[in-house]
Amino acid sequence: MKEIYKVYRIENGTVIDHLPAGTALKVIEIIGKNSDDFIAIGMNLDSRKIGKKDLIKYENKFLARDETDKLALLAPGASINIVKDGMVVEKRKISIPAILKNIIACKNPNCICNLEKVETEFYLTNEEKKQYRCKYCEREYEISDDFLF
Amino acid sequence: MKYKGIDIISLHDLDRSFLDYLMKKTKEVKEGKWQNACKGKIVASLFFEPSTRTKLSFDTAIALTGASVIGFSSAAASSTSKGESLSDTIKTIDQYADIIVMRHSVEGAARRAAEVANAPVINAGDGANQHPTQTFLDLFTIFELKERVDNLKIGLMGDLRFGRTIHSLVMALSFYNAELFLISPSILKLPSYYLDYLESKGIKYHELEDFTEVGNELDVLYCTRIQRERFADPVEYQKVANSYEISRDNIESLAKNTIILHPLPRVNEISPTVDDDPRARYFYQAKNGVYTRAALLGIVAGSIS
Repeated sequence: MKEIYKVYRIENGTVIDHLPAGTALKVIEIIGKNSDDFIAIGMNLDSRKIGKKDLIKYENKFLARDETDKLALLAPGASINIVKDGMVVEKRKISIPAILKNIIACKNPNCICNLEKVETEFYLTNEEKKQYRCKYCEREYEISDDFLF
Repeated sequence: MKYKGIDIISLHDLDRSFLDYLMKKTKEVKEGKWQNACKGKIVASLFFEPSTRTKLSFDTAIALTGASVIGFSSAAASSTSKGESLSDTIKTIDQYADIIVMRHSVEGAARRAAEVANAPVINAGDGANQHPTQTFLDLFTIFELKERVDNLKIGLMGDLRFGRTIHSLVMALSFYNAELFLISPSILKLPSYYLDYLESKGIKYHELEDFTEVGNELDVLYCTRIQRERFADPVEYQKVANSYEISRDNIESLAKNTIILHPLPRVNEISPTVDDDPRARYFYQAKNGVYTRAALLGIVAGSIS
């Protein structure tokens, strides 16, 4: 309990917990602020589970599907807690998505999805390596942060 | 009618039962069973990128099936030169044709076309990505000459890193439990994700640099071109290119019943001096492209079943 109070509590919204230490700012950059609502960030907190961790609390924000997918790519071990009236009402485990729809861009300049207005789609081919295949050009990539839109 | 209307875009979408069916129907076409099966159908032959071999092979296949052909043989002759999007060009031609055959320099163009067209789309090559009908004719030639693909020892030689015919063929062979010998210079080895794929399918493979080490074990030696532009140093290219040439000097390292295949065009990989050797079957292989494509057109049109 002591640890939770190091980061200001929220009444309604989403807590993203168990982020690897040092990734919180990247997560905010990718998922965005979205509104003027309150966001609390804790970095380098002690964690029994992963040693050191980061933590983000979004007031009045509930992650959409594409945001969960992006988070899964950045920090597959993270957990999501939905808070209502100050209580955790739902705990979500995230996992690497099997399909990424319009989440990442293809790095191949000669791929049709970079030349015509086409939604991107990628299929997971190797979970351990976070490797995906582009639906169109069929190139396979190990996904890193710079692939995210 | 099982496969009527399906798009033929990539080996990733296909399975062994489709390939077995296509091989069976190709054999029937070659035996003369399905002449004029597509009479009354219209095939749009859209070559946004010039191609001699594939286009003429498709034209001949279309003639064999009795279908009519419309189309163009370069992007300059299509509305894309006026700035029209690929999707719009395809949506328009879809109004005229029963089947669309297309080659395009952009990867994924055929997949995109299939998404917007109602008519089945056959990919005749999309940039460096896929060229499935080449794979079908390669596979048919192996089937025909070896009467099976299962448990054969197949050497794939040349540019295994960038060669699209190799990548498609590797996928097709993985359905048949063939043992693969991947023969290439170290900088042109098969990409690791294909090796991962082979491992996941339990396919036995070996990587080596010199075909003469295993030549007398091989049932098939499939060669591809090594492109000069892949090498920064022309001296290095020359050294490598020479060591991957099949000639009178090294052909005897192959077994008496090894067949030599090549998707063509060749440059230096196979010396013309071995063309008369009974093991050299690459021109025969090219002829099989006509029967394979005719069978495919008939299958997707629902005229061959």
